[in-house]
Amino acid sequence: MNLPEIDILLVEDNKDDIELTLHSLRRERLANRIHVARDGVEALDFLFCRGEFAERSASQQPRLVLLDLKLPKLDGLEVLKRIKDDSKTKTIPVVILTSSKEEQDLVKGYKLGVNSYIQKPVDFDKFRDTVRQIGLYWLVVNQAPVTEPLRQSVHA
Amino acid sequence: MARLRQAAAMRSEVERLRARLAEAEETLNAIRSGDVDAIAVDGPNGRQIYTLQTPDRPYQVFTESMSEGAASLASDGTIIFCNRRLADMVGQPQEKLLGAPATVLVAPEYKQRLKKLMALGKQNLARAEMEFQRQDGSTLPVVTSVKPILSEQSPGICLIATDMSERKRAEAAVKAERQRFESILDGLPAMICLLTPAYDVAFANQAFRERFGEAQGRKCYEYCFGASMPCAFCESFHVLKTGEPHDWEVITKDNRCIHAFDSPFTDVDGSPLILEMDLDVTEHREAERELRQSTAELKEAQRVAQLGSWSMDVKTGDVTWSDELYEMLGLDPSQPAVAYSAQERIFTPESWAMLTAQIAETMKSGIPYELELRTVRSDGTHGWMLARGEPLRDENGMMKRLRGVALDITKRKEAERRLERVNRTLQAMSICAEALMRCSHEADMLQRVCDAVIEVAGYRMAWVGYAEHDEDKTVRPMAWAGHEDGYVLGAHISWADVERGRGPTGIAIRTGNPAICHDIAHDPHLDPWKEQALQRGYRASIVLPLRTEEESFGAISIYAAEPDAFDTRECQLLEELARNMSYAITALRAHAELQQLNQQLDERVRHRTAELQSANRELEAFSYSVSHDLRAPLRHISGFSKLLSEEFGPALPEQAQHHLQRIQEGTVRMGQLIDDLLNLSRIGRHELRCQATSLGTIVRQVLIDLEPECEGRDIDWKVEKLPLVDCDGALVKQVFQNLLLNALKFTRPRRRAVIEIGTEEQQGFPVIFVRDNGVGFNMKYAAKLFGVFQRMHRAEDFEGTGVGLATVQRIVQKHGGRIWAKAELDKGATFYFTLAALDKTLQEPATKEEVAHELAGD
Repeated sequence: MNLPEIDILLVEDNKDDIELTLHSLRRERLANRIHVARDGVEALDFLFCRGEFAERSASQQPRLVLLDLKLPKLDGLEVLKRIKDDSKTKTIPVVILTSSKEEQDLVKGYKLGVNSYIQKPVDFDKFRDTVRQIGLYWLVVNQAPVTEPLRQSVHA
Repeated sequence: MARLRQAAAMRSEVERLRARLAEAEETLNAIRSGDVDAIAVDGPNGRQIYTLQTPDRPYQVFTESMSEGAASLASDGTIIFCNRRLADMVGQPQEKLLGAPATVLVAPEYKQRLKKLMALGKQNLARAEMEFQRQDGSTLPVVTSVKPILSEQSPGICLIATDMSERKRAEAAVKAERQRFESILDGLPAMICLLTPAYDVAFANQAFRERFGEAQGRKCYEYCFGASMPCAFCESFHVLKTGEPHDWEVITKDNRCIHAFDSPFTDVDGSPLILEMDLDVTEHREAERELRQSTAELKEAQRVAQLGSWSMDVKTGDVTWSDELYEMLGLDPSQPAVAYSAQERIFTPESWAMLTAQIAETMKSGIPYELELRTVRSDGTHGWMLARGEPLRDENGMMKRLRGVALDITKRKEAERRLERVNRTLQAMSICAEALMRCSHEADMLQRVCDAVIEVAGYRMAWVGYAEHDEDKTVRPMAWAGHEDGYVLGAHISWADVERGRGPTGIAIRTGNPAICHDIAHDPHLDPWKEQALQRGYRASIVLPLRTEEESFGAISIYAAEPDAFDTRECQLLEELARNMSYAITALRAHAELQQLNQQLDERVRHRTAELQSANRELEAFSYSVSHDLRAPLRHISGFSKLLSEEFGPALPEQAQHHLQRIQEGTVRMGQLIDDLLNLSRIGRHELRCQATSLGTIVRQVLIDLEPECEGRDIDWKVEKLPLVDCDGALVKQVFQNLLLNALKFTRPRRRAVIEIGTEEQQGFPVIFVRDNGVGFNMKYAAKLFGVFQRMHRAEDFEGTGVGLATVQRIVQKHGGRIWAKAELDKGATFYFTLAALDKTLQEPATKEEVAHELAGD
């Protein structure tokens, strides 16, 4: 069964953050279909269409991944690495959205090929605005590559 | 006329006859009286002499056999009679002479004399010298003596003429000879005189006369000494007493030295005279004196130089020596020199062999030799002699004698030997010094030193021992070299005050002074080890302690193969060696300790660094989590309270809205605080990345950044020329951001804000300032200004976390600078800060190239 096309994959573990982020995204009506992965493993399973998401179609990748760094099980940067290492997922824009503005995270992230790095503002208005800008930019302004038709996974 | 003539002639004829007659009468009378011995009559056969044959005949014979010429003369000088001799003397026959005047006998120049003589002869006996004239014209010197013949009838003169020619010849010869002798006497440089007992000068040669003047009629004491009386003791006259020759010397008034030879002299007449010969020996004596002096000087020189001279007759082996040679050999100078054949005992066997061989060679080749010989003195001690010899050739060119000099070089040789020894020791020391410097291993160094002492300095054995602190206080051998043969290990030396510790080693270690044993064989200190030592050829030893400042930790012992090997100089050098060793060992140990300490230190440092690093990491992790973990809930608080006010705001009472507002504000502030705190901590950890940076450019940047803040406000920015400084641009930017933000903040109440930024010099150092005309603050609280969370004002008046200035201070301090502020309430505030690098770079602001480099680390 094909799941509906997803616009954004939000990888975030904190429920409050999830709530606030979703609120901000929906308010701007930038995206309807948002999947939330609560940890890195789920995120990768989702993207690679395995595990509980084995039935997903690999040809339907999200248009944007919002990635928090502090994740249980698998670290955000590790998730990023896996995403960017694999040709199947490499082209998906990944935006790190995190509280941290640590230099090392920045550097590592960019080295791994992150498309953008945003620090979550503490102030909610600013937060909302930032999210809006991100969504606007990556879903509207930015030109996404045409996704190649992938071979159907065995599981599909 | 003819008749007158005739008459005159007849008259003279008669007269003549008359005279003749008278004469004949006279003659006859004479004959009769006997006054005439003979008559000469001219007959047809010539003149003839007729004598009376009377008993006068013996007289006749006598007369005729006389060697003198005799004649009787009439008173008028006519020769009445002459003997044959007389006639021969004049070379005339007797007859001729008879009747002739006597003057025919003599040469014309003597005629007068004869006449005078004859005149005298009439009365007296008289004599005169004259010359007869001979028939052939030659002359004959005679002495004519006359005597009156007293007779009434016919007084006459008896004349005797003695041929003087022989005599004359003899006289002449004598005269000539005398002349010759006189010339000889006169030519002699000696003054010769004959003195009479009456002090007259009977004869004086020319030299005498020249010196004293004519002595004629003067007494010897007069002109010799200017005295008026004979000398009290006359040296010359002494000879008359003794009859023996006598010589003596006198210094005359004019400083001439006269040597007088007096001898008794018998004059021809038998009278005793004194023959005196005076020689002026002044120069002679002078030369003698000089010779004596130079001889004495030579002798003295020889003596001082200890240079003796010798000579030897090669055939007999007899030897003569000067005094110095005796002295050199310790022999008695009154004894004869040791003959060559017996000289073997005064040299060592090697030297004797060398000498005999050399002498044989020299006698063959004639080439002089020079040898250094070792002598054996009479007391058994040894000495060294430098002997030179050369052969002497006699008139045939044969080498019969050897002669030469000998110099006592014992001292020199000793000195040479000592010098050599010192040299060797110095060399050894130099090698040791190298070993001491190079060796990093203590045992290795000790061994090298021992080796050097043996190999280079030439001693017999050397070893180093350390003083152990065990019960027995043993001295443990650490290294040795040379002829050891187990001596060291078997010696069991201690440094305690026990039997085995009272040897030189123990003493040296205990006292800290060198212990020398000049003669092992006779030194009781070494009794426990003597046999072993002597067996191995150790005859003398020196032990030098090895010391630190306070105590001896060991000793180096050196053994020599001959006694008395360690003189003062040697000891000094070896002491220095021991000092160097001690120093080196101490240094090595200190070095080792140091290394160990260093290692420990390194260890600790590593440990600490690890700790610090881990602390740092923890801190980083902490601030990382803080930044992450603290923000998230804050965000949530902010978010949901916002949502609350948005979604339910209208339904909420105003108070509720107010609360929500305050909640929002709180979250904002907290967020700011978290950011500032994180920044402050980051700065603390941050390593400065300094570069030449233009402060002016930074300020311009900050002003651009602050533009939003400045909107709607009247701000007078007075920005002066700011220098180029070596600093971390990113951090310094924060400084200006903070300070300018503050300036803006606190000038808000002013209608026109005046904010100045520039540099000024304070106490010789450049200082940056930021001045505003804002509300200022009370200087009373200035101390709190830079503390974290310290605020001068109420939060509702002026926002701020209270972290800003703390951060600025941190940054300035990191740059080696200082920050302070001056303010007056309601007048304004000035913030000053320095950066260490400012001191060196007060110059023109950056050029375009430098601008390109700026803030590259940002």
